[in-house]
Amino acid sequence: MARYSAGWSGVTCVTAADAGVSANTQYPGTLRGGSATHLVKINEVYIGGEDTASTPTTMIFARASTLSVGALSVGTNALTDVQSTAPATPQSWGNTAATSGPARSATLYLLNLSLNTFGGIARWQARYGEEITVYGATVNIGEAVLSSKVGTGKSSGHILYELV
Amino acid sequence: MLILTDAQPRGLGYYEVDNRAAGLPAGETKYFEADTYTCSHCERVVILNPERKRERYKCGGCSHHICDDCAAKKVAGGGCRTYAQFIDELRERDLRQTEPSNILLP
Repeated sequence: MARYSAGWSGVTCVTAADAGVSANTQYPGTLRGGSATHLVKINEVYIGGEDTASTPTTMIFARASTLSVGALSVGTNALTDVQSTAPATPQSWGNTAATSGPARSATLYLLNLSLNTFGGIARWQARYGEEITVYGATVNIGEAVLSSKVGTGKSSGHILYELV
Repeated sequence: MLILTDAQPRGLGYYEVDNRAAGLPAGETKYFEADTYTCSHCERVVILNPERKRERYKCGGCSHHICDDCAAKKVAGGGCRTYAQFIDELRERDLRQTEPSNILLP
């Protein structure tokens, strides 16, 4: 349907434990389905480090075992094709939840993007047809969160995805 | 002559970590790139370790390489159920619940 680029800028991570609720602004972002039948396919994750000293950071992209609650804000979520039409209820992206943040699943890790955020970059690009799926708005399926497991790196980056 | 076999996955994703600007001490890995595939059973991204000697498990059900955790479940007697199937089933269920029906049942 429409492809999006979800981004974040200059976010300094704070270490988040598995299954612990992420605090607002302390992780790059979380992507949550906009309705019970939204199907999102993620095909690229890019992290660019912006620290001024060596800061090894273990960034984990994982499914959320506790969904964020309330509107998500802070961060950008842009259609990559300006001619596309956004759905009536768009999917949500951001690192600030109005009510409570998501919790990274302790088991459903999807991608480990460790890097040294002192100028380091980490990038993953899916093969066509092997994207990561986020569906609906239920636990362990409907939300994927990018957060730091170890390290307090500062970074900017993007996630490219398609709303099917 | 290049002979393609089913032992290794083909048509891959790409993973790159570049720490060359980080001023790491000598001996540390500064740049790493590798092919990836996505496990068709759980959608975990598998980074292909170039040093690995053990073979990758290819599921006979979906004819796709799967991750080691899913391979262990499969070997232990688990069946093949891809994540795409799982999502399709959920979508089917959700669509059936939301679509109004004009059929009157006695």
